[in-house]
Amino acid sequence: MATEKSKAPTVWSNVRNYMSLVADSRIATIGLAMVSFWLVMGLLSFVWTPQDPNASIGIPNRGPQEGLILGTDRIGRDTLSRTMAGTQVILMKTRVPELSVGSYMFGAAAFAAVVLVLIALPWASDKRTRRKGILWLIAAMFFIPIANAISGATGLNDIMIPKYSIPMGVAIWGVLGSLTLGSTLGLIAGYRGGNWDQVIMQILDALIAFPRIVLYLVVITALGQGDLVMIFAIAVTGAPGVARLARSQALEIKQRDYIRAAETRGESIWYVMFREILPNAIGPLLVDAMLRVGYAVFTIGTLGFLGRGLPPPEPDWGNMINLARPSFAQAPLAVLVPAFAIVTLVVGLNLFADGLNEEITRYQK
Amino acid sequence: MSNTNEQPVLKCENLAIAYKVRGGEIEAVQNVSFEIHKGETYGIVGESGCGKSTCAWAVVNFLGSNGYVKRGNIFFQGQDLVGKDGEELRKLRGNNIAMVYQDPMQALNPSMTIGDQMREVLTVHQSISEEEATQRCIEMLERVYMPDSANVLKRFPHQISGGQQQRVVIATALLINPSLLIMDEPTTALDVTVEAAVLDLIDELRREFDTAIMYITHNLGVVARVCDKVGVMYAGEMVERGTVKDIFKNPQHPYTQGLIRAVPKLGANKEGSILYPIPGRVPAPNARPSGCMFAPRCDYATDQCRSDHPELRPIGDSDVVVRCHLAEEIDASAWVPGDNIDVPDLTKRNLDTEPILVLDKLQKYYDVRGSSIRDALGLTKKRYVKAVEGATFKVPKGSTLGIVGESGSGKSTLIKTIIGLEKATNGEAKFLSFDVTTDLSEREPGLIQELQMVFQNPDSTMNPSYTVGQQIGRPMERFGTVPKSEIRGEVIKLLQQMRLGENYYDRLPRQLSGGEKQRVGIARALASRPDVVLCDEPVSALDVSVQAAILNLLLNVQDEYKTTMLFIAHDLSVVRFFSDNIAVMYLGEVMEIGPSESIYAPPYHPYTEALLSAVPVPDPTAVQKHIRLEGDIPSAINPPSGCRFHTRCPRRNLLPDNGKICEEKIPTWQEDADGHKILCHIPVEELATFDPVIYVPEKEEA
Repeated sequence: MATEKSKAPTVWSNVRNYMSLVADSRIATIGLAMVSFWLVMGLLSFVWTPQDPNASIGIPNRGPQEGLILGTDRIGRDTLSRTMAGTQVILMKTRVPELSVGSYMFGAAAFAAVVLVLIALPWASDKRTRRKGILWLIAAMFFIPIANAISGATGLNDIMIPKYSIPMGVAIWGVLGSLTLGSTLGLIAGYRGGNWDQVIMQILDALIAFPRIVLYLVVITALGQGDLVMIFAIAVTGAPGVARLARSQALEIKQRDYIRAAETRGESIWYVMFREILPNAIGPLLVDAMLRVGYAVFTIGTLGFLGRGLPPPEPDWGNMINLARPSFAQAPLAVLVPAFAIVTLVVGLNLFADGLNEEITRYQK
Repeated sequence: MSNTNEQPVLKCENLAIAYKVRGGEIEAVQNVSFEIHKGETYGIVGESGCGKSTCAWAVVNFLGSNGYVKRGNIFFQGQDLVGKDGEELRKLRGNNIAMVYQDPMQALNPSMTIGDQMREVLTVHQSISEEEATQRCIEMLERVYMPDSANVLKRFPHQISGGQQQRVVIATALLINPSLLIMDEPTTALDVTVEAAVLDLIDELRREFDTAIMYITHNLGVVARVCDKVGVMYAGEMVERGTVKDIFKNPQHPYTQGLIRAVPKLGANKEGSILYPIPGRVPAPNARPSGCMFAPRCDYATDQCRSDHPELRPIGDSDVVVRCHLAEEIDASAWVPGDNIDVPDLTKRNLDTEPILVLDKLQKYYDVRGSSIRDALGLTKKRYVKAVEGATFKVPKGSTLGIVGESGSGKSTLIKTIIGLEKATNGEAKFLSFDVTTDLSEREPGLIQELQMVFQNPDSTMNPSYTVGQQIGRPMERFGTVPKSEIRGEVIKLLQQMRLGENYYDRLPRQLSGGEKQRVGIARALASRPDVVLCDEPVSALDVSVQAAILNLLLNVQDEYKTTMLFIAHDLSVVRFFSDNIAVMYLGEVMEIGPSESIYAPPYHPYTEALLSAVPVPDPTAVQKHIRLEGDIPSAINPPSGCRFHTRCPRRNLLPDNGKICEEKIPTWQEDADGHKILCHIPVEELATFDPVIYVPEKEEA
């Protein structure tokens, strides 16, 4: 197909453009280096760490020594190995716990319902497809009850699927979630305007007004500690911010003549939002997403520190700090090293995003 | 005119200006020399990207952090400005040089009152008390004919109209009584009628003040009206310099000749209004040819032109200097368009009389929604912006209807309503037998496909994320006019018709020039094979040499596809040779409509007459009637009673009782033989006795 053929080089040239932009900006290069350092550490930790991160192998609360370069924590585990492995749950892998088939069905139904709502909302906002949209929205309400009824009746709740891991960490999945949720809602609000804008943005603003950390604690307390719950919490709390950005982009882009051209072709609202507006709004959204990964790392650290973070046994930086805190005087490194890890990763992501943003806007004007 | 032996106010000598960019340096301007004397208006013309504004910025040291004067000198009253330090320059400029920019809304600070901004000029650079400053400001505003000037000082910029804003900017510039006034396209953002008034003002200033004016513009008509001398710039160089009379009467450089041929003339007859484009485009600063800059686009270029860079040299005993090897040999009057130029065929086309589009009393009102609680509860009276009122006309199949009017006349709303971006409030509109008063959401794809649109702004007409091929192919894919496997071939065929090669298929919009983007926009509109194409000022944002090419292209396309076109323009000079019929709109209403030639000759509607007299004519010998409209376009929320034009009509005194009837009664349509209709109380016989607005004394008429 002709269209595919011409599209491929543009995607690649976009990537190359971004890389050359990064190279042009000192800030972005430094940021990328800092992030890459932790990516390498994380990847390395899958195959090799100096010691077993979860084994108690030394005398607790000791400083640097032979074989344990950064000392031990209060139960004698190697701080360096644990810090390296701490990257895994944040950026590298997500652990799916042992769950019943019924829970999977519930999850799938909930996921499908959200996706359906996201698809149907734009339809419902357009006069031509309003009926279809509303029908789908109503249909989405039945997904979860139906799934529950089926799994209850057939005894699927008793069949368990053992735990396993999927690639990419909690922070990344969480941000992808808020990107999908937020940009769809923001694009509808911005492009449709009027009452749609009012209602969507008021709801999201209410969500922003709610104290962030309380929101996390409520979600985690209700659903239990776990990687998937954390992803859900990050996605929901991040969505309003993404939506605001997407909305402001849509407001500006919808003024352009090519949007008029699409409208005078009678394109569907989906086509206008996602094929005409989104590709031109994606730059700022991606930069923002990178910042959000940083926030997510920070949030995971905070929640870990509060004892409500990611579950053991894999090390989690926030939790490491929390555990080493009582013996800070004897073994400061056990607190400082994971704290340093959080700081460098977050600052690295920030620098990278800022530098990239600066370069993009400089050459666009 | 002043004595040339006297020291010039501004003198540039072999000026070269460079910008540092990623990976090197770009010489935006080179070899520019000119001098401006006291009381003289010096025009600098050229297309965009020729370095006109860069020259002006160099004079005021405004080149930004990466620009600098590389060679040459700028003498201001004998002092060399190049190499002076910041503080010295600041003092010099503040007291002696003033600048007027293109967009008055951007030149004025929206959060300060006009009085505060104007007073600041005086109090910062001179030690003058507040009261005295206020007094001087009021005097200056009166000199630029600002009505109610004392009150204007208390207002904010958004509370006065665009023309008044530009008056404020000019008055502010004149406050310090500058020796040099730099005007960078001061009327480009304004409506023709407002532009005419501002040009009158500039013309008067030239005579009254002893200020030297450096006037930058792309519009040759404007130069002919206000300038004494003119320098033509091309690709960063000055290519011709001389008095306005000489340059227009006998242009020596092929580029100047081409520019004059490319500008809409609005002369005495239709043939004179054909536009001839200059093929090719201005070379980018880093890709300039080694010989004559213009050689690649020049009809006369020889090997010498391509290898040797010509110097500015005087021609004969006139004051004209020109940068051309062949200036003596070229005879502009013997010029014929080359094969690479599409020349439209002006022979009267045989038009179907069967109308394809019929409007009857079409109306578009917008709700004005207040934000108070009373509004929200529906307690206040509903108000409307009456954007289009009672539009009634027929468009024959395969013809072009030009729609002309100032901004705010409702012409854009009218075509938005026809195409369905807006829903009509009332009235009837039929495309063939289909109702087109509905908006797009209620139209069948088959109907949508038949009405397509070409947009104004080349930079926003294409989606930056998709290639040319994808964007032209999309309508074919969407409406299924072409089988999927044949789309590529069909797109390439269209591209070739737009005089763009097959290699454009995979290009992205950022790799195209403005004219090329506009061609792609036209191709996209034609891709679904529509019966009607609506063009919203498709050339007003383009350079003159490109404008002509696009207009001729549209004409040829129309011939081939038998497309019906509605063509919006803001002045009457562009649509003339192009349209079969022309409608003149004012404040939402059609004032005059008829076959195109009948619009340009008496009987005129008084508004048409005023519009025609406002258009700048690029011919210093042409005699143009001087009619200026008073005041601003009234609000469309509360339009004047009776005839909507009565508040500004310069002709109402022809009616008994100073046109009382105009305020009371809506006029009726007066029609003459060939379908030329005028909405006016003045009898058409009397309108027919008016003199033609434009009269060219000599040869041109033959």
